[in-house]
Amino acid sequence: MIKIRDLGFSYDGKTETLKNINLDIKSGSWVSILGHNGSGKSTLSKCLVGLLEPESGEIEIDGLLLNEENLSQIRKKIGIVFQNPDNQFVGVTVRHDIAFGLENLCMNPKEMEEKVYTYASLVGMQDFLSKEPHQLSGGQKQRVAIAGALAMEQDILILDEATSMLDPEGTEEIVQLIKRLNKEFKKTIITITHDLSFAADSDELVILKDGEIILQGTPNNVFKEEKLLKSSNLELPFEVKLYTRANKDKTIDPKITEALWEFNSSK
Amino acid sequence: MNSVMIGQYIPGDSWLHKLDPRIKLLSVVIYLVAIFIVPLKTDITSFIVLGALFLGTLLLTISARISVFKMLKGLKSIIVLLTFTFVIQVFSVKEGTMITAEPIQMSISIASIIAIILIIVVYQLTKRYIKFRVLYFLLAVIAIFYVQAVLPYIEITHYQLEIFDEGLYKSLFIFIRITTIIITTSLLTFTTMTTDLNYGVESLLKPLKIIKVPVDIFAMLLSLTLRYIPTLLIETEKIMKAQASRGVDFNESTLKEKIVQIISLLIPVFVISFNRSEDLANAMEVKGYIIGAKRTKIDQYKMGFNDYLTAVFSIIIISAVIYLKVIG
Amino acid sequence: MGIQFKQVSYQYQGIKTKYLALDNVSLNIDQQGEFIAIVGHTGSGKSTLVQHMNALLLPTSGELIVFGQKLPPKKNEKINHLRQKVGLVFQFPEYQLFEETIIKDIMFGPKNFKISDEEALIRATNAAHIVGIDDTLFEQSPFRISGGQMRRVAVAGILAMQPDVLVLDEPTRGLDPKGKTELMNIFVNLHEQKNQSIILITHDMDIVSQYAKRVIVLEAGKVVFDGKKEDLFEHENFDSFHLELPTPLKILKHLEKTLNIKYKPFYDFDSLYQHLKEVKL
Repeated sequence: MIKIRDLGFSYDGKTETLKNINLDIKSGSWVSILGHNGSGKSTLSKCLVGLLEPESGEIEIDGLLLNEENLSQIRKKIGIVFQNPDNQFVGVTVRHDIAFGLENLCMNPKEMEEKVYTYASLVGMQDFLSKEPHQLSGGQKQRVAIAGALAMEQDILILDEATSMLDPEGTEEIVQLIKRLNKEFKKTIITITHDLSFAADSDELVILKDGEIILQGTPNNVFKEEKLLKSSNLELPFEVKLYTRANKDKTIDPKITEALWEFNSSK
Repeated sequence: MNSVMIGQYIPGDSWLHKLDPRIKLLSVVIYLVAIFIVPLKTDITSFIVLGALFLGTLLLTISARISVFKMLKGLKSIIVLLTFTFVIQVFSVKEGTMITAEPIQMSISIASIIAIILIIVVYQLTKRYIKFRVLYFLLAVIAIFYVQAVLPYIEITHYQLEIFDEGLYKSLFIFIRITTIIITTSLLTFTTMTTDLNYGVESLLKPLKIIKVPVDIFAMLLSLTLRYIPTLLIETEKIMKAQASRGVDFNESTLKEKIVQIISLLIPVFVISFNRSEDLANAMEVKGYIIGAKRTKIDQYKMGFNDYLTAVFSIIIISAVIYLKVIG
Repeated sequence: MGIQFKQVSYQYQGIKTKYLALDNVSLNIDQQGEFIAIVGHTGSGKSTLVQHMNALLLPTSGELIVFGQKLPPKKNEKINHLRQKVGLVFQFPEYQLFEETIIKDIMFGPKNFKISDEEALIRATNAAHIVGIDDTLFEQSPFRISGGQMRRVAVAGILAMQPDVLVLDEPTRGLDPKGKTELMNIFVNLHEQKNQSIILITHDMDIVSQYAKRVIVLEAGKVVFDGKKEDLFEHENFDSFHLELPTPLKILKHLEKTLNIKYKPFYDFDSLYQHLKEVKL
């Protein structure tokens, strides 16, 4: 669904924020992109939605080449939820915010009302339609942002550190929602994060360091490379680190190692 | 999270709440014009017309199911202004008949000055214990004038107070006029949600599009401003607490320190807003917003029977007032 | 000295709502040697509690004594100096930066407490070094450094005041894993080297497990547990606190269930790993 070929980007023309990015993202998959602060994760996501123009390489989304002519078409296919819940909430109320994208598409009011209600319900915010943003928690605001993207019926959703500013309750709400969107509604999900616990449930992990992909694969495969992960300031979750080390350690009874694997699988 | 209330919207579902915001806004403007047109003359017609407009606002208040008491309480804050206006009128109008047989001799003397100072001091010290503050304030003002009339000891200068009936009439007139204006505008803000007010203003400005004024952009700006005021207030409070935790204390600091402290509050808020504008622009762009492009709105406003009726009544009222002014 | 809460309550008065944010809280905090984690769900009163500790909020009933000062204070008593004794670092403290240069911003706190410019510079320099901000950055604008560095500058701003008690509201929120570990190590070092009392609001039970000595659990404004972390996790009514067990203990319980390994608590990675090496089935 998404094909990225030799993508390169630089903010100042000197330091390459992104170099030689080659990545394929299959329709309906959940890919997590991780890396240290400054590794180029957000830059990549902004390139994918056409907010930044790459210096080199190309991006193809659902067969369409990402360029200025196709921009409005592309924006109907791919949406994004940013990190700061307050800085993307445009509407005066929940209802108005979910409708914002639809208003830009010149949808008629009746259809908009229906869609707003449908997608607000999907994220569990149907009772909050007339609430103003300062009356909502961070998790609730992010759910509204997701509803707004869903209402535009984009099949690809990028969540750029969407849970970084939330408390655990809010984070859990969003994590559950993302899993539903991917498994039940078959949306293609790209999560940008530095939380490996959260990323452990995705189909594929892509690790960036200083603008380049240094590691890619299923969570199980990626977790074996503790040193590479550390080089991009990432830490294995406690239980994964314990299992990985125990697995390599002959002095630990293999039954214990197996039990640790069981523990991780059940999470 | 919830200590901020923008505007003074009082939720309700009276006919006034449900009125189309465009009609409401227009009618309020027309009503205000009518109030101003009523001539400031001391004949009985002017008083009846103004009185009718005043009673009209009270009736509207009742029909909007807002307590009249609450509405009048809102006037407390301008009592000083009203008293000031009253006093000016009383002093400056010299027509009609004097209400006292002879001018009242008022003296500014050592005795009266001391008395005035005493009255002010006692008022300031005791006002927090008094229940009916407004009345207490008026009593204090009357007392200040009273002592000038009865304490001519060690006189510095004197003047004559001539209170004419026309002066009193005009003061009362202006008092009622100001009160009616305030109630009318309060009715608007009490019964209209900010989103609706926004829509009303936007709609009424639409005609300006013809002369290429970017009304849509102003409307979006207004909408975003309304959306962010409560958020900014909450964030400002957080910054204040953070800086207070670093020793910022407005009470115990010099002027020079105060300036730095205000900067320690303004700059973070400015930085937050600046970063926010960039994020917001990105978010809006990704959702397909193009400045100046055509877009629909989810809010639909249809004019109903009540709206047409209100429009008709407004026209009748202003016509009546203009007619009376022309023939009067 | 230190902080004493004696049946302190705080009634929050909003425009339409009012509720008891703190309900009859009694506890004592030593000015030295404490490492306390304050845990509880959102809305349980954690922020309200810590804002009482530096007199940002005053009790609506009960008695609070902070470093000898009774609160609420009498009419002309000054309380600003308490904010130097109890240093409070809010969530996302990088938002409080405003000065032209990093070193000036760190000096802002001490200068507000009437410390001379020379002395303030010394304290700021020390604080900057503690958090790992190099001298070469001192004249830079605080807005031209990375988010992680900005956070450390903000923390240095509080450390420069040399508070007796350091209170931190979720200091690692939003940081990447390396940043989290580095920041926590700064606080651990302060605690171990200077016996600094540290109070930490956190949601992360693994952080509680690894670093805290004492835990205070809040629920709906009430203190439902105040004691050693070991006692918290062994508590017979642990479920009623609605908290998660930290990961190492979860793993140990799992091992007991599936392999019959006798449960023995270990609270951090290294000690747990060592234990697993020594266990013989």
